[in-house]
Amino acid sequence: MNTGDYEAPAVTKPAKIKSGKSPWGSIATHAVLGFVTLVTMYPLLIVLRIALSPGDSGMSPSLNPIPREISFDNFVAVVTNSSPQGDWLFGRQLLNSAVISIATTVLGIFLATTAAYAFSRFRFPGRKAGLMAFLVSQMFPGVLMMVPLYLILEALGLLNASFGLVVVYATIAIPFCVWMLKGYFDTIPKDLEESAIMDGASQFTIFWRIILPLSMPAVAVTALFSFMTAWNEFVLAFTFMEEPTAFTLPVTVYSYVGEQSVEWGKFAAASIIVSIPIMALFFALQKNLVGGLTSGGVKG
Amino acid sequence: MSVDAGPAIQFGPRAPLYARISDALAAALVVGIVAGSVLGLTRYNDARDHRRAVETQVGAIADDLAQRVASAGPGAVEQVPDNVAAAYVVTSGGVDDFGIAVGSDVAAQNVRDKGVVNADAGIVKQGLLNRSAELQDYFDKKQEIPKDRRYSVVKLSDTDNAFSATAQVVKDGKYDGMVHVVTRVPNPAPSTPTSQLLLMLLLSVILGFAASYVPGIKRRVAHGLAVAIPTGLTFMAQADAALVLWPGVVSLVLGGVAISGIASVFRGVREQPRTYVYVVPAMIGMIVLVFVPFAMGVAIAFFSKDGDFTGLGNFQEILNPSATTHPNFYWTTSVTILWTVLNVLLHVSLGVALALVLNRPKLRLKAMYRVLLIIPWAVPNYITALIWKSMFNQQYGAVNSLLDVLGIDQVNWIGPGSSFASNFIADLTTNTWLGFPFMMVVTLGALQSIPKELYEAADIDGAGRWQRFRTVTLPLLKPALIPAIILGVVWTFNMFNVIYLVSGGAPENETNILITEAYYAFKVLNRFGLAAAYSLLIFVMLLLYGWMQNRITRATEGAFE
Repeated sequence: MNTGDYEAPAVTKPAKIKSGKSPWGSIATHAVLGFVTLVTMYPLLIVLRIALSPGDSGMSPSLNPIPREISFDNFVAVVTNSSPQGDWLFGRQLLNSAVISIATTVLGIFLATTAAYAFSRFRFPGRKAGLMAFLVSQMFPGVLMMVPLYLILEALGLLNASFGLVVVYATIAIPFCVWMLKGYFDTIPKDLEESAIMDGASQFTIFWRIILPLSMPAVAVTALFSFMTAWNEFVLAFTFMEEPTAFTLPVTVYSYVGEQSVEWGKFAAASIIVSIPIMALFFALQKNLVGGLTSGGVKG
Repeated sequence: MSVDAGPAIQFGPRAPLYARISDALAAALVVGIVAGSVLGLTRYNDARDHRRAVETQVGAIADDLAQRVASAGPGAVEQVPDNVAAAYVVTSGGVDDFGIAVGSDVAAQNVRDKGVVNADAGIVKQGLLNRSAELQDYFDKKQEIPKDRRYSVVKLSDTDNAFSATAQVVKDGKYDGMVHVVTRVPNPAPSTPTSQLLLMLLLSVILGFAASYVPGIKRRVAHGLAVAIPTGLTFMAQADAALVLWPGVVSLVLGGVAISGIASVFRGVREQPRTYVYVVPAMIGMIVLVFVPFAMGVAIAFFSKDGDFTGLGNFQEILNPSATTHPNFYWTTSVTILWTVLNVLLHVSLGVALALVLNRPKLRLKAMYRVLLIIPWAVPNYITALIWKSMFNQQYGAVNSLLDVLGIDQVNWIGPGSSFASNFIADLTTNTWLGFPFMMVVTLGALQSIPKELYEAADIDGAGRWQRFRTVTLPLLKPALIPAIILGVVWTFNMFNVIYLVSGGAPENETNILITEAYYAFKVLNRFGLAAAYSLLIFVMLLLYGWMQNRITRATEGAFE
């Protein structure tokens, strides 16, 4: 594999210069990266074309990602989507999605950081079993949980309630976030805490004033995952909510090309609208993503 | 699952009180989870049986009314049973006795849309529901009548248990209108009341407390009994003896194995309460919304479609398929494994390769490439799947357009009559696009933490590029990559959206993986037991994989220190 290339810093290099320094090597690298990036971006460009073409006319056999005729009709149709009773469904569902996702993020961060802190810093009966249980829970197939979850939410009176979805989403996101955060907390030297204890700081002060501020990259990734879990999910939202006014946006997006209809133009426009917040978050947090996700694993 | 041992405690006559209370609480917790799960399940089955009975009952009222209307005219609506809240009759020659404008409009239009009654349809109405909104709501929820029955029934609302039934009026062998009846049927008392469970929880507390007086290994037997007896007794009132036996046996084993561990957690709570304050919120959430549903799901796997206990029946059906079943479980499992292996291989090799290129110190536009290559991860995966589905469309799809440009014949990727290979490739392409950024980001992070000195040392030893990669980079990527691979395998194994949305299992369910088969059993066959059995098999396979992988690579070893 030629890509296994690595160039050591120039300072340490002896006088002999490798052939990799020639402009051809660099051009080849950019050619490969450019090609891969193009392949990666192409489906999204096609979505953009379908969304910006009038009606479903963007679904054409042309390879050209630029629409022949630009129209914002699909976007307008998606944004003004209303129920027969005159409710502005798009607005309601956007609000639902935003409120549910933000609440999930807050709850997810709270639950994951506290648990990960205990798993990282304390030794207590049940610690190993708890960590194992979190890991194993990732293997539970979703189909198995649907009926029981429905029954439990019904028993708790959380069916048809946004709060029910928030709680479910937050717990779905917890195991991955706890493991990731715990790995990150493990890399923070204990000296800091020890000197803080000398100064009379409480356990909570240490968690709140030292550990959390030092773990911002990992906390940011936790926030991103919690938010994504809630923002992108539609099977549970569709199952647990009855009224279209209570749905989240993905339910509507899916319905454009679901079992009943094939409105590719509207689907593409809605997809873009739904993806924008997540993409913005990814761009904002991508540096943290690289650091926050792996530092724990690398330590071992 | 082992639980870290707390401080050693001598059990027997002189055990401290808090240790006895810990045992009591642990017993109650296990009873709560096992008996609670099964109780939830019986409630669910009861509710479904009740629903069926109500449908027959309410449907019969509508059918009876329809026949009387056919012989005596719309006026027959005056004689309906007392529990009928509202009845509507729409006949072709009828008169609107009550003259409700909104109602008649809605009804007439609704019926006209179905093309069965002329525009002058009359309406007769009686009863409590007379507000137009309720009427509208009622017609919105009305269903077509199934072909094999004379009526259809819809539940109108959960709060007042109202059902609406629709039946056809048939006069002289010809369709002559419709009858709609709204009836309130109260829910029956549950066959196992909640108070019964609470009583048995109390019993388990007492028995668990008593068990702490038993020293040594016998204590485990005592724990088992402290859980099995109350669990079994909870379901005494149930007609099905299996509902007493099986939860009893399961809790006997579970109690003997797990109570010591759970009790040591409770003792830990007393000894270092502040520690547990941090874990308890997440743990409660996980127990209520992940582990209890899982326990209930496991229980469901042993029940048939009609809610009868079938033991291993569902598993037998899956594992011992008839010769004509295709694709059977073994085919689907092979496809699932092939799917997982190929995907993870592609994700890791693509991800690592791109990360190595992006990690070159002097690369220009590095940030831009990185951002653009992460994008597939940021797009919700159901959207990705549907986009690729459109790209594999035979007529408009970009993939065939590209083949056209290259002078290759078009391929029927996922359309009717397409082959297993083309469908599988379509799924695989989609999921590769979806999955490589995660591995790339993990690798990028790991690469950043490899000390430069190691490469310098390798250089001095005269290592070539490949050697440097094999002896320095790869070993140091392992600690980050192996947990990522384990997660990747688990996620891919259960990657429902891509298979379901792109190939949809075509041709003939051959590209289905286990999780989509489970969903098929759940959604199409309405067989929750079968779906749960499938899911349980998936879980066991993943658990075995995780355990083996962990034994070989010791991926999680450091995490428990």
